[in-house]
Formats: sequence, C-alpha cells, structure tokens
Amino acid sequence: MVQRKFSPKKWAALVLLTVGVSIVQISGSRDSSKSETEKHSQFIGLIAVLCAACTSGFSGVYFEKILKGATTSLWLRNVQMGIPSVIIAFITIYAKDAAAVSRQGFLGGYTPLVWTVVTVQAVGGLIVAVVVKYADNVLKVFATSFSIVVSCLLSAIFFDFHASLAFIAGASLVVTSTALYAQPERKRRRKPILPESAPRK
Amino acid sequence: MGSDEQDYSVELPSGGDNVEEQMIPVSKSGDMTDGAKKRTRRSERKPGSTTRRRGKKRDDAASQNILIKYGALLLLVAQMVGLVLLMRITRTTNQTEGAELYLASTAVFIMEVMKLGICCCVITYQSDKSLLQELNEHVMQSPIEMMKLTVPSFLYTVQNNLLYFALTNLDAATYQVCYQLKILTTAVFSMILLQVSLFLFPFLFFHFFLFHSKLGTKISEQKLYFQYLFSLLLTTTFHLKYYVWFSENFLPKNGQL
Repeated sequence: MVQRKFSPKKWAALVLLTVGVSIVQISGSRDSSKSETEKHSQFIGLIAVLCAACTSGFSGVYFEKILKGATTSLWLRNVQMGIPSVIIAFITIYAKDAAAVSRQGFLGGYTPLVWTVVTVQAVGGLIVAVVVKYADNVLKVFATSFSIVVSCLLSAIFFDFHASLAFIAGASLVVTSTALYAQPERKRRRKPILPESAPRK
Repeated sequence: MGSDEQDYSVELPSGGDNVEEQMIPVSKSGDMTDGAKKRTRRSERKPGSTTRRRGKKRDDAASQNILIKYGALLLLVAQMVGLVLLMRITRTTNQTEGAELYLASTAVFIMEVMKLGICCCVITYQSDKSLLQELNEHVMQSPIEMMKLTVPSFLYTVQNNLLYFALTNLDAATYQVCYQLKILTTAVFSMILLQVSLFLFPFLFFHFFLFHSKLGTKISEQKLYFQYLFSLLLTTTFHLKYYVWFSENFLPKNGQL
C-alpha cells in the first residue's frame, strides 16, 4: 500500500479529494446563517481535523515502515501500544486539564452516554481492528462512503444540519475520489503465490 | 464461522502459513474472479482430493465469504457513524444545559485503560502461556520494539484528543467528509518518509515538549490547545524537510534503521 510513485489515476483522486474537502470547508464558512462565534469554532474544528489527518497519515506510514514482516498478534500489539498510550494519556491530562480536573473531578460531567461513547471507542476500535484484517480495499471504501452518507442523513434528521448544495457536491467528490484512489493497481500484488501470477499485467 | 473455516483449510496443501494464506484470498479478494482463480489453482496443486467435495466446499466458502463481508461492512459503518454521532451529542448537549462538560483527556485515558484490559483478557484466554509470561516476553524483553511503538502510541493519543476537540466544534457530517483528508496525508507522508531513517524522531518530541512548556499557563485553555496543534504541525513539517535533507546526504539508499 505504501508506494513512492503514484499512477496518474491516484494523483487525480488526490486532487479531487482536496477540491472536495475545500468545497465543503468553504461552504461551511460562507454560510450566512451562522454567527461569528460559530464560524470561529468551525475554523478551529477544521484545523483539528487537519491535524488529526496528519497524525493519522503519519502513524499509518510509520507503522508500515517499522512493522514490515512482524508477526506479533493483534492483541499483543495492542497491549504493546496500550502501555505507552495509557502513560501518555495520563500525562496529557495533567499537561492540558490539570486545573479542570481539580475543579470538577476526574469523572466530572460523565453521563451514561459519555460512558457509552468511551466504550464504543474502546470495544469498537478493537472489533474494527479485527474486521479490517478480513476486509479488502473495496469493502473499506464502501464502509467509508456509507458512513459519510449515513452521517449526513442522521445529522440532518437528528441535528440541526442543513446540507447546502455545495456541501453535497463536495461530499460526493470526496466519496468519488476515495473510490478512485482505492481501485486496485494491476501491477502490484501483495503476495505472488505462484511464480506465473507475479508479472501479470 | 469457526468450524467451517477449519474444515475448509484442511483441504489446502499443508504449509506453515496455511491459514494465513487462505484467509487472504478468501476474504481479501475484492474482485471475486481473482480469488476464484487462485483457489482453483491451488486446489489443482493438491493431489488426491475429489472434485465433488471441492465444489461443495467452495460454495460453502463463497456464502460464508459474503456473510463475513456484509457483517464486516455493517460493523465498520456502525462503528464509524455511531462513534462520531454519539460523541457529537455528548460534546454539545451538556453545553446548552450549562453543566460542566466532561474532559476529553480523561475520556481518552479511560478508553485506553479499557482497551488494555480487554486485550489482556483476550491474551489470557487465547494464549497457552500465562499473561505474565507473554508480557515479559513481548514488553519487558523487547525494549527497542516498545520504543519504536511509542511514536504511534503518542500520535494515536493526540489523535483521539483531537477527535473530541474537532467534534466539539464541528458537526458530524463535515467532520466525516474532512477526515478523508487522511488519504492525502498518508500519500504525502508515504512519499516523503519511505526511504528516510527514523532515528531523528526523538528530536520531534523534544521540540514538541519544548514548545509546549514555553507557552506557560497564562493564555486561555483554547488558545493553548490551538498553539499546541500548531506547534505539532510546524515541528512535523520542519523535521520532515530536515529528514529528507539528512537522508539524501548521509544515509545509504534504502537504509534501514
């Protein structure tokens, strides 16, 4: 999956993706019904997403580079990563929210729904890690596209979310580019099983 | 799926990574034709199995394959949508009531502890060795691997905090769309990083914490976090340039650490 050279198709997909996300962002900030503070918070949120995408991309590539050919099981790998994560998460609490913790307590503001979110993130994350082992690229793209569409629909129904025309256009571009990007390249096979299957075009 | 799967793999030519190899074509075949071809070819290699039996088994596997696929699809979508929407609800409803909002950092911490607990339970249940033996072998006895893994652990923790932060400010749909930018960032990082040595990573952390400690506590919390994100972005970009320069001048091509 990691490769240095991209085919023209992939380049096109990346450009489409960027354009699509830009349209969505601009459509959000141009919305005249929103107040200044809403626009401001949207801007901050977008930067947070941008950073999250950066960390996600970086750790993905790092993983592929470092763990090439490693055979540790999924669960052990999660334990190996979990131990530093717990420590770092603990440090983060004190670096970021020390004052708030002393004010409202460690579990201040925890409703049952918050516990649900935490559980879904923990258990769901592990389940997804198992499932992804058995999922191919096409399936992942379907899942991504579906979840974008379903999120939009549910947001429109349960939240006060109005999808503008620009948002819909941008979102469809993003979905299209995701699909385009994930289309398998003929040349690179993951694991040539028989000699004659390797150089097939 | 347990017994069926074992049944199926019995028919395969025996080899070390028997199950592993089988699992990839069966479930990983995006284009069904490829998977089918491979399966046929492999069964041709296997001498002395009857054709009728093979055909039946293939049907079983195909229907099982479809079941796994739809199940996986449902799970993936449910996780992606459910998490984001629920999180958005918890980040917004409390604010309007004026109650104190829960802290994202403690939520991430609890989540990590929970995950660790679940994994330990699964290992205890699955492994022949005891949990302590496994931990000793894979955690205490492999400090280098642990050090390498600290980098993604750190990034995932930051990422989870960012997820809460983003959903405090952004509606779920916009978040979902914009988060697809990770495809772009992955592509960019894979181009930049692939042939670059990794031993300069400690510098990144050093800079990061330096930036953070310099900021002090005088500024408001939101502003602080904003700076925090910015410094992360800045140091990452800066160091990437530095890596490329370093690798081009000092490291052999394809140099592995």
